[in-house]
Amino acid sequence: MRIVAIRRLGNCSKVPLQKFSRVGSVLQSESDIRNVLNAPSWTVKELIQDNQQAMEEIHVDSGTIRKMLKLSGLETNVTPEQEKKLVQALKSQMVFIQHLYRDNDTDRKDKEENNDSHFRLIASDHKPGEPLTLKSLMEQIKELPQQVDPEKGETEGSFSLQDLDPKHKSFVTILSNRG
Amino acid sequence: MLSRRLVHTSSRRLNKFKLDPNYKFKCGIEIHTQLKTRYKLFSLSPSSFYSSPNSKISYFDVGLPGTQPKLNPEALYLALKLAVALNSDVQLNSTFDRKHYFYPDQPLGYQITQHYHPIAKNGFVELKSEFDEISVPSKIINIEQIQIEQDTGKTSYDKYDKTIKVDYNRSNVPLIELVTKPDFEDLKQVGAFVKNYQTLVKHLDICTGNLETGAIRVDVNVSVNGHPRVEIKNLGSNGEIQEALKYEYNRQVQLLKNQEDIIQETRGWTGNKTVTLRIKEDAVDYRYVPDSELPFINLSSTISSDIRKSLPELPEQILKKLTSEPYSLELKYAKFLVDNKDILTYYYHLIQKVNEKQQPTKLANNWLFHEYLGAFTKLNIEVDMTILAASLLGDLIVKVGEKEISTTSARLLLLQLLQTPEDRDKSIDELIEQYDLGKPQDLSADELHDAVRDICSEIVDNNPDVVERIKKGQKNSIKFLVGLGMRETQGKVDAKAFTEMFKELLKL
Repeated sequence: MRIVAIRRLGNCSKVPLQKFSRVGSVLQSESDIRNVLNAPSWTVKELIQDNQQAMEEIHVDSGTIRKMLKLSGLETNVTPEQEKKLVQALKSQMVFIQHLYRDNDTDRKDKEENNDSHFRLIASDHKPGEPLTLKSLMEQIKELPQQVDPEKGETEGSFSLQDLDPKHKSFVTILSNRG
Repeated sequence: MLSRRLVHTSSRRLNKFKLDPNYKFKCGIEIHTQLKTRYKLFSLSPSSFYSSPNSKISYFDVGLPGTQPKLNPEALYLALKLAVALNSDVQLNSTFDRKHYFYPDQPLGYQITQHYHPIAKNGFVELKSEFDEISVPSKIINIEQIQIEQDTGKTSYDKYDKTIKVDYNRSNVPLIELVTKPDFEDLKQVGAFVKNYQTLVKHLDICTGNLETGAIRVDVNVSVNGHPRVEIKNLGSNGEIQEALKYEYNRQVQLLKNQEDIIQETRGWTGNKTVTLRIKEDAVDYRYVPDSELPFINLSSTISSDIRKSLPELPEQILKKLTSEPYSLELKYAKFLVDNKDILTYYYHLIQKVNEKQQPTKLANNWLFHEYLGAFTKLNIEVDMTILAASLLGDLIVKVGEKEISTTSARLLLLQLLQTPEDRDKSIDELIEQYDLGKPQDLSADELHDAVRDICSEIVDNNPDVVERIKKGQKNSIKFLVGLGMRETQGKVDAKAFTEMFKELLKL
């Protein structure tokens, strides 16, 4: 999985490819790969510091901050100082995220569609296993009862919410801001 | 009660509403269907309802850190069954994605769904006026995609202590979301599609098929004359769908007539009107990303054809069969049987039994729908096809057909059988003898006539008030006297004989 991640960074336009050029054909053994992975060539901090101009170019207004807070389920009633801090934090994150996207000029929708290829991170996404037949699917279904695991709270009574919240016997409760 | 539903028609609600030909109605729908699996979608906690709150939850269902999802193959199987039955292209590679939003009923902070690569695409349903209440002979409704996703928990507001209570029993229960193209041109088509869909998922044992319990939830998208579309979310019954569509169509037409803009928005149904939930600018940004813990679904190229072979007869095929010879059922009865699989199986056994003895199917049809199902209503008990074996009811019907027992006596015997378990082990012949319900065979026609005269005379003497009413012109009251005669003879004598005798005695 880490190799996949490195490959992605290698493909990123913001990361100078020459940083990896010395790897190129040298990567012939497992130890070569290990060595490359153990030698960091960049950091997020560096990226943000190097991109102060990019930070300046990003425009984040009060509405955006409030929408982000709302989407994140956070308190939207913030002071101007808190807002300023949040704007800075968001800008830094945006520099990093823009760095991960190849084409910064596409609109949000396109970027979201790009997530499909950018964030396929598990090995099987790239190297599929044996295709599932109806017979194997039915066998999997048949075996399910043996896989129920009380340690995962999957058997009735093996996990009670009361363990998490002794005050409330049966419900998870949340204070409402309704009148 | 079940039998009463047979006479109910859904067209009643649509009577007063009409689309204006100058304002073209266009609609697409999204249906969420709860799958009938033993376990949840990504954990193996029981997927059951009507349990005490938070009693069917695993660590994953409540989003505790360190837990990971694993796809339940049952949900995949049911989704594939539905996709194939809806003529869809099953995708050999499909994936799961995270749809982010924060709400207490969503403990992970995101819902696992299939945004980028759904399990099936490009299906269709053909509505036919032969079987569906639509105004054109045939109408194809295209299905854009079918995706597998998790349900959320349930929240309820407690006014007393001003808290929101969350029950996670429903959290992570498997759902299928089906999205149609905007192909619906009128309300009847929407109604017919939803009805067909309900019947299909129930028939394939994919879902209970109930809208009222939330097992099926419908969102509709409506637009008029190509103006921006409006989505109405979470409609919980066929009636609500129709009423909400009517209201929304009228609202949009009125706006256009007033030369006002229609805003693209999401609305909710309050029971008598639609109200704004959120406008386009306010739309939730779901930030879809692939789920990094679930491998993609990699299916064999033979799986669709294998599933197709394993599917039972589909509702339309059954309707065709039941409305043709030898069954020749009216469409409403055929639909009722398709909607009630246990009664359908019972029906096939019954017809086989009755036909074996050369009695007409029509007699058995009449007995099943009117006498047998009606008897449950009469006794005010839940219809249960396991109470009386189809073969025993078949024997009783054959005896009626062979005139070994009168219809009245057979009705009495049927009620007796439904109420007396020990009688169900006996043969119909034994029961006729035990209750002395056979035709009076040892009497000549004259003797029978005399016996009927004696009984009728006695009834006339004992009911002077009824007799007086009849004589004053209330001829229908004679039925009361006939009823007394039938009761007296336990239905062994034909009602016609009593009617004629009373007319003779009362000089009518």
